Amino acid sequence: MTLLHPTPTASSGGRSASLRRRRTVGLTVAVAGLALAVLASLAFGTRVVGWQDVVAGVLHPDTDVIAQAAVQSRVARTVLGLLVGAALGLAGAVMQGLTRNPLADPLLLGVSSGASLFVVMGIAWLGLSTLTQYVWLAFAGAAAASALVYGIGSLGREGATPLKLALAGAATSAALSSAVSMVLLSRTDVFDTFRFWQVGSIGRADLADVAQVAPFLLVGAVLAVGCARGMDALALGDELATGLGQRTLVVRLVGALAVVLLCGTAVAIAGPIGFVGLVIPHLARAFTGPSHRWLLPYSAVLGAALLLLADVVGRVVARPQEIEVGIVTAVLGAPVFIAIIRRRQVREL
Amino acid sequence: MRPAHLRPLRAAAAVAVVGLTLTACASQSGTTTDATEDAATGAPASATFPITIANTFGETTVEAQPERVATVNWGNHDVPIALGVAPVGIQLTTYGDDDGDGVLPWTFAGLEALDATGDALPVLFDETDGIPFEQVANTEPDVVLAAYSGLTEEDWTTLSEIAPTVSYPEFAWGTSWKDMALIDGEALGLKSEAQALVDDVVAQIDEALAERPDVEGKTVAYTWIDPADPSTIGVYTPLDARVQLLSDLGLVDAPSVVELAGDTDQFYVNLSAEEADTLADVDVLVTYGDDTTLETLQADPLIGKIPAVERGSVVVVPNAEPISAATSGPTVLSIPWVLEDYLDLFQAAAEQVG
Amino acid sequence: MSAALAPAAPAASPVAAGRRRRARRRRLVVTGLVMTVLALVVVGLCVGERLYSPVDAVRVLLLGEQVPGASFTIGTLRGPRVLTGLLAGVAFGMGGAVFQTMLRNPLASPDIIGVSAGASAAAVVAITLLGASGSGVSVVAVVSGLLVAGLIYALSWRRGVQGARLVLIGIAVGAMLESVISYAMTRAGIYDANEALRWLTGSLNSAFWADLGPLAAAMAVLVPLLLVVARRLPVLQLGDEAAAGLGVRPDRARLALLLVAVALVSVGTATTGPIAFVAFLSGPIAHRLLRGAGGLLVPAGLVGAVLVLAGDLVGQHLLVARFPVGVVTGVLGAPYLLWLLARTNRSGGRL
Repeated sequence: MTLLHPTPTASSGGRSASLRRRRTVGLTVAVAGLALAVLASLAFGTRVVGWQDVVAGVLHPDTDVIAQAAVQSRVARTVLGLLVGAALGLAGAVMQGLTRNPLADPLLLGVSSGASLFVVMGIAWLGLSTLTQYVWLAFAGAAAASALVYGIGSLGREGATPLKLALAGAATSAALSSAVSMVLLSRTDVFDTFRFWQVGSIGRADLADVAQVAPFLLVGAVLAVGCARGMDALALGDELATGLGQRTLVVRLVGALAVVLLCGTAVAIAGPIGFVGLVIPHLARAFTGPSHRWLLPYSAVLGAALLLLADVVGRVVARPQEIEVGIVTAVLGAPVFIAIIRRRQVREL
Repeated sequence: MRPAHLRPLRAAAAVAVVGLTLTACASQSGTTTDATEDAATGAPASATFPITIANTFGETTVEAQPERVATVNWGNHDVPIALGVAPVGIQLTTYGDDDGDGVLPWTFAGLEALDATGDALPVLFDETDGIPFEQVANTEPDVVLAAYSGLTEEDWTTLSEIAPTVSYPEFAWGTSWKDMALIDGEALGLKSEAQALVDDVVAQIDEALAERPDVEGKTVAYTWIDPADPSTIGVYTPLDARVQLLSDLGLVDAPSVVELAGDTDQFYVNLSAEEADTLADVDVLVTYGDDTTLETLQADPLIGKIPAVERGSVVVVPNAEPISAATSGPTVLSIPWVLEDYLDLFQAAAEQVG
Repeated sequence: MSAALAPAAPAASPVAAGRRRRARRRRLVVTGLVMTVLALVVVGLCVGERLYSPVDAVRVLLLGEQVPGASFTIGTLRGPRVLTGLLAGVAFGMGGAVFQTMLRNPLASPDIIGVSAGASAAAVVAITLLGASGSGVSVVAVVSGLLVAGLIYALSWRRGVQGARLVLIGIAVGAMLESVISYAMTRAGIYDANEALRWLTGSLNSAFWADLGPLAAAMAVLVPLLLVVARRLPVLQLGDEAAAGLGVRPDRARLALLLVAVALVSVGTATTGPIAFVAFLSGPIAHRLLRGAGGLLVPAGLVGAVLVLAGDLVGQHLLVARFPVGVVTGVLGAPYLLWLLARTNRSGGRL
């Protein structure tokens, strides 16, 4: 362990001790926050449910009582929210680490629009209509779009700068959505199905669906954690990283695979959800500093908490309707994004 | 497969003469049209022209019995066809089309009865980019029917320059099939025939209902549940044409649906699945889907709590097939076409109600 | 880095021959573009369900004569359609070019950084949830386009506005508004949603004289104004300090330019919907044609008009269905966009 110390934060003993304390305390706080978010997600919804029913609904639901059935359905939703939120948080952290880019996010970088195009083609030409059918298409689309955006965004001498990546993502999204409109305009029936998919939501899966995609998320998470140290080295620049014995190409490839698995699966099962992957790593860094071995678990925990809370907000503000979580995260996330941009020196962008 | 592309040339040639008479009519009185109209429609003029019909945007005055009838937007073409007038142009339909020819089966059958298929098929208006005004103008219509439509004021004004255009009386896409038949029929000078047509359809409905005694009086909710997202139930409000058709079929809007709709001017409202028991007073639940839909709904922990779903008194309308097109935008032609099948679904569902 | 964009600044080119050559090239390009626009206008007026001769078009539009058939087809339908396409194309082309030149990035066009999304989101909400149509939608779109642009500008302000920050904030605001659009779409009836989708793609099918008047009036004010304000552009491109040294207050000049450009784009969007990629493509195409021979704005406006007019002709007559113009410009624009993106990045961010 001590042989490899690429983390720039481990420079001075005193700072490192206080940093460790901050990290431990922070992680405790984050986990406690997540626990609260889970509780809130189980307890609050469109339907007002008493505490006895919440407890019963989780532990030994009497499914004949609708209050308890509602709570039970929130269990599946909460599990999905945990997984998707953690996946998006992790993916965001890995994206930002690999690209050394503070503004990486699946929605902004066009990954979701790739998935959208593939799903629309599936509905229109293959007649698909269920979640499990969408999953593979969305997955393929997400992978293709991320490869395209990163490929284009990283051309040139200075590599994938935040501005270039963001523009490549926005432009690719615009291009793909033109293709989507072309299909939708001539096929009213497809549009009728697709416009609902297009809004990210975690209300759509049951536990069986979750079980089906969980392995992808697991593999993605393992890969992400596996290149944590490599990303720490990358943060010092490619030459230094190579000097420290990291094979930068391998780290980048493994990391990219992790991102595609995490993001692709999340988009496939929950639709396009933006800003979680973007905002969470920034929040996490406030506690952890740049070390990815800390940053990644933090991002997963905080991502899950944020997504669950956003979903709770969407469930309670418009009773008896629900507002999809993708809309809540966009409306809550954009201001945070703007704040991040405003705090940075333009030179860093 | 798309005769629409061939039509303009043919129509242009055929219409050249009519075009001249039309411009002549504009300046002097319509003696030419009077002479030809009875022969053309084969039906006696049942009304005296000019006829003036009020709509949201203004008044539409039809000066003489129309001979060449164009229809835009969904379903309006079925009215003249049912009244024995083959339109010169109708909408190219992309929703619920069974065989990709752009014409729904009952419309096609109606045209067939009027010998208006094959080469004589009306021009199909491609509405992908909105109403194709040039295409409409090119059919040289005497009247444009759009009692059931979402015309904007500008659309209406422009169409009115082509020919007197019948628009909706109250709000876009909010005209019932009866009103559509009466208004479109009135513009053709065939109001009493249209009334007879409506009465006939109503009689057919009554007859069909008599054979299915359990349907009448059951409360209904017409829903849209995305198979990929059962956390939300879309409920069509009583303003929607498909819900109005249910009332005509002797069914009653469930009080919960009426309350959910409130005074909205939208065609549907959303309901969180957690509040599914709001729909407890529904006898028969209607939704779109396929063979597996009922099973899926029953397995859902929340939607499965709706009594109608629990006991299986659910009507599943096959998605994006002619039967759903026939009932989601019903017309005087589509109702007789679909009536028996549609009511069978309701009878089967109603039998489950205790 | 931006020398290629700058119009021939006085005394910048020592060789008089070079200046003459560039002037000649510029004349050639502008004349060529004007001829192309005119040709497209004529084709647009004469071709359709029925063919009419250009003479008929002149008789109907210029002499106000009554020509059977043509009076309606050309006078009511094709006339305003072609003119609206022309004006909207100019508006998008010029507005886009201002953004791209000022922010020194070809990708920083209003349809990508959220300005068009501002106008669109409000219009879609108006169409689907409030049941608005026609001029009501236009007013809402213009006002909210200006408001959103103002908001983006204000949020980017931190001791002055930096191009990169403005672009990124624009993208964020755009993404937020896109989700508002998606929300409105799921809450609307399918017919309204279809109408909104058509509008979002950009269509000339609802272009009538009634909307053309306000568009023409607005452009009669905005285009000359833009050309006057844009004289500051070359100086701004030298960088803020150099600009200040030359007596130009960079923030004020930039704000004025942005305001006029946003107004142009919003007015265009309000009339036709945000026709995909026209604002984005016009500047780079014009630049390629000019090869540095003079100011970009007028040629970019002409290229915009060419794109919209040609796109509409293709969409109306050459495809399997009658697609709105925005589908054509979008689908044709996408490959060009990706190519441009790759090329720009490789060469380091120049237009």
